Amino acid sequence: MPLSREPGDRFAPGNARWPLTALLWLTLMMAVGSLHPLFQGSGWWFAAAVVSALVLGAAGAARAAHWPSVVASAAGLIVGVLGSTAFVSGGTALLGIIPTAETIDRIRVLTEQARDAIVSDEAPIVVGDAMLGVIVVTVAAGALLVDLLSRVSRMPGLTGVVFAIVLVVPSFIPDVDPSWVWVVLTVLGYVAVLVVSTGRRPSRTSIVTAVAAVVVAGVVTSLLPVSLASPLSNLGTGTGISTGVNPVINLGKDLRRGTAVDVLSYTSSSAQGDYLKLVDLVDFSGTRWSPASVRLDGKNTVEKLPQAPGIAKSTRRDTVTTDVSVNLLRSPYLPIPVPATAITGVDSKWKYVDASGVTVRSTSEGSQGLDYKVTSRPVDPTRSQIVRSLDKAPAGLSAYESVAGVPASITRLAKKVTSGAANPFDAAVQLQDYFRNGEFTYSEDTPVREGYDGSGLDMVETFLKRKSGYCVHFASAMAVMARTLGIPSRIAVGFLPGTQEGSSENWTVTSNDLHTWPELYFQGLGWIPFEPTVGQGTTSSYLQQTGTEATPSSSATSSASASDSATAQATTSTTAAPTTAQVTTSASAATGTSGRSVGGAPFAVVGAAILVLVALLPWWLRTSRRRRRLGQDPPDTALWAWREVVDTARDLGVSVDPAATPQATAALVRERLDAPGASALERLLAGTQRERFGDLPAGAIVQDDARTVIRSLRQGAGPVARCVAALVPRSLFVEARPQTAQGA
Amino acid sequence: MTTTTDSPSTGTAKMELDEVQHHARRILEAVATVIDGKAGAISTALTVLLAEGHLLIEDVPGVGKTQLARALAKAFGASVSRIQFTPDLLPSDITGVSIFDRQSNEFEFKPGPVFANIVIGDEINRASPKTQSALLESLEERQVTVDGFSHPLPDPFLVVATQNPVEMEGTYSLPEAQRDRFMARISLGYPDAESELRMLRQRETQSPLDRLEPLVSVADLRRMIATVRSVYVASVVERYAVDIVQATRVHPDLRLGASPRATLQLMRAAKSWAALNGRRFVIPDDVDALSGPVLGHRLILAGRSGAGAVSAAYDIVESVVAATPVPLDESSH
Repeated sequence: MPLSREPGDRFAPGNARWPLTALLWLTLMMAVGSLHPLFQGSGWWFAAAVVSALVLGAAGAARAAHWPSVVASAAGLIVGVLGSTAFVSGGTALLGIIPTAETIDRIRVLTEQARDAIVSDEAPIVVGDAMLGVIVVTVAAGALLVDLLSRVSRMPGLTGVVFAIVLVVPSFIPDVDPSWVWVVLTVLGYVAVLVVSTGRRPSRTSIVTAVAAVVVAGVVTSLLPVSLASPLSNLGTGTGISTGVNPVINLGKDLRRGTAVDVLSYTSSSAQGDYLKLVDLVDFSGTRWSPASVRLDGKNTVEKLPQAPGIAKSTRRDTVTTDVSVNLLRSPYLPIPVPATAITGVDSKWKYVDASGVTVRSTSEGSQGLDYKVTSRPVDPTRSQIVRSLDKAPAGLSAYESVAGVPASITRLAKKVTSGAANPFDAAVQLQDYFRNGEFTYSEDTPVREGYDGSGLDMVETFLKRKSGYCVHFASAMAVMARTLGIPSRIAVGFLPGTQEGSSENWTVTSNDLHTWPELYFQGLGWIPFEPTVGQGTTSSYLQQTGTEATPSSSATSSASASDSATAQATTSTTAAPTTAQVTTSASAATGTSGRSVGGAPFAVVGAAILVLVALLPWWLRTSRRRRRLGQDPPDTALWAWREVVDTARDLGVSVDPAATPQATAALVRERLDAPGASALERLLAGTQRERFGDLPAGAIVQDDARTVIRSLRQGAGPVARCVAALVPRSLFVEARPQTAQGA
Repeated sequence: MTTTTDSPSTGTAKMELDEVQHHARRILEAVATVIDGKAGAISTALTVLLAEGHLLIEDVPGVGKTQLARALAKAFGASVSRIQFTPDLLPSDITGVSIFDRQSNEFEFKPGPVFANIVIGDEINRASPKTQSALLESLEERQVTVDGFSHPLPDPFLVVATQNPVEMEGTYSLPEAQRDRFMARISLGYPDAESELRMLRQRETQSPLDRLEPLVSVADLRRMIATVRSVYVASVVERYAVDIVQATRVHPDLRLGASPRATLQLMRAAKSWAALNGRRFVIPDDVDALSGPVLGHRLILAGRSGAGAVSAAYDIVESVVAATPVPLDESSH
């Protein structure tokens, strides 16, 4: 970045530099404009523009009134807080702008809502109060940062980093193409900022910086064909997996991860292991299946869970106890076998959700590291119990019966597939067979490649034609088709039983075991889990047709599956072949090489970017200190120029005695300098002595001399020493120590 | 009383800095023809004289102490007197006596040898303490009181005293209070072989001291002194000098540190050094350069005495100076 000639004047209090301030604001708003594809409407942009203008305007006005730079920025902060409050308070603030305790509560609620919206909504997000608040506060903070960088740090060039960060955001959001118009406008604005801030044509360095910012934004965008759906919940995890509020959003991505991560392990008294459920998806009115919206009730503790609905007392049930240790899973839901009757070992943050009675949720994503014991009582009805249940009509389940918007082709197909069924239960079993033992193939990549990845109705329709997909497609297709047949249905999201360790009761579940399956409701039996996904998991032994038309192939599958665990190596039946392939293996085989690189890329890029930023922090601090020191006004011009030279010498490995006189120090530094450097040092030394000891002005020329000396010092040092000085500047971390012990 | 000591040259016109430097260089060169290879000691001596201080030259006999004192005195063209201190020297032999004049029927004061611009007190530690103190009181007060009448000494009034190290026979060591009155103590040490050889050849025919002509008039000397007085001292440098002096008072190896008078004289000497180096202001390096000669003879070492103590005191001053941080602004202290 170019050094200014008379920094003292241009950054002096009283110099508001309105053109620069206006340009910074415009450029920031251009960058924020690139977020347009993420949000609906444009009101949010104008709100952000107003608040950021207030922040920059207040800081500029304070500077015009000769306030010190930092205090002026503080004024900007206060105005920013007041302005943001006006937008988010919703009538809770005093006079509309002064935040109260109530406002803070409201902000907490809004933040949570906005977080949920970011995690579960698809772009463009509808901007409600919560989202607007987040946008306004974030942009105000950005404006403040821009002000601090340009005026307090005196590095207007560095504001490019802020703009670049804003520009990169859209590339982290799925299905959003960054708008290049805004990017180009932002870059033009940034170049204008550089021109105005330096008062001359931008140096090559600043143009390179500007171009680099654009290139980085472009490269990051193109590197991320599968974007991070929920940056907020994913950025922090690194290695683990995180489900968010609607786990189905990330499910495909997590399945396509290059390397599986251990999600949890458990011991179970069930020989087949347990399907562990996180949450039920009930509603497909939107573009995808989503959980029923619920409110956590403080009384719903989990030591004793309510009866699972719809199970007749007479129905035969097993009792299974499961000890779960959650490893790398961050989820607001507790993975549990269903229907659970009691959970011990989790704290009171965890509540069951009334709507389904079996989902256990916390307000935080606190599942990581939990150990708990679950007692569950899955049904295992006899054939006669199933038959008895068939004549009873289900009640009060309208939410699970909605078929709004289902294309006729799906309804027709469902009818056709189940044409031979004698009753709804048989129809359900036939549906499962249609998927499991028909022409369908398992693939995690085909839907992505051919553009029908998702659980919405359009996707289901395409999937039924292409007949290739993964659990999300199978489960949503079966659930939708069951509803068209009048059977209440929902989709469970959770995990396959995983891998059994030998023949012990210990099971390990990895990210590749993430799974969804449909659950269908039958009065008297309750919610019965089905497994339509070809080649995945196991089906329960009682899922056989009750009518006369039971097919031999179906029973063979069922019996084979029932007698084998998910990891069993059995190859006794033809249909068992895909089933017996280990879950992990099939998943990673399907993932292929492209999935591997894609899955890790976002984390690697973000991680590397953060690392680079952290690594550059000392450099940045040191550079801004140098800039500040070499821009000091009289009467301390020479003092700071001198200190800067001494510190640079220390950075480059000259051991300087802090007790020594300037003359003695200069003698040490001189050894490292070439001729022009040495004469500049003499002038700087003379100027420093004149200013410090002679009470005479040193003149701004000493700052140029200091720069000459610093340049000469750097040239004299080796490349390694230069790198060390830039990245790990000694003077920043270590106080100079006197070399002569007193009283020797 | 003290006003006269503080401002004998008040009102004297100043001399330009480069002229001071020019004169000083000529004096140093001239004196160097008399004392070979002792440039450092000579410039310290000149510095002290221009700072209106009194100089104590301490060394073994025969290294040129008296030569140095006489050469300096002669170079200034000022009135010079020399007092050879002996055990039987009386105070009135220094200050002078009042004699009854029969014609005027009054007592008339006959000034002693102390009434000169530059007084050389040779082997001052061979006189009795009573006689020593007669000289040393005039050092501080710059006047002589005889029979109730005060007689001011000439301006400038500078004393260069020489003394032998205390181990030598027939000497009365100067008490601390008396030593404190000298601005600085220097020692010459033996010349190196080459200087000694050169000296041998030169003095074969004539003493170089005889060839030495006065270079600076008394008026010029006063103006030089006035210029030295006007040298600026920044508060950070004052603070630095005070820090050094205070550090000697808490130093574990010292029984007695330097006095406040030492601080004052250190500052004056530093001003003179700055002027001789062509600067209008004092830098910490000036303080560093003078702290050894100015502070060394005032310190009393814990548990040591004798000739070795001289260099030990210098070492301690040096370590104190090295360890005292140089403040660059008020806040950094």
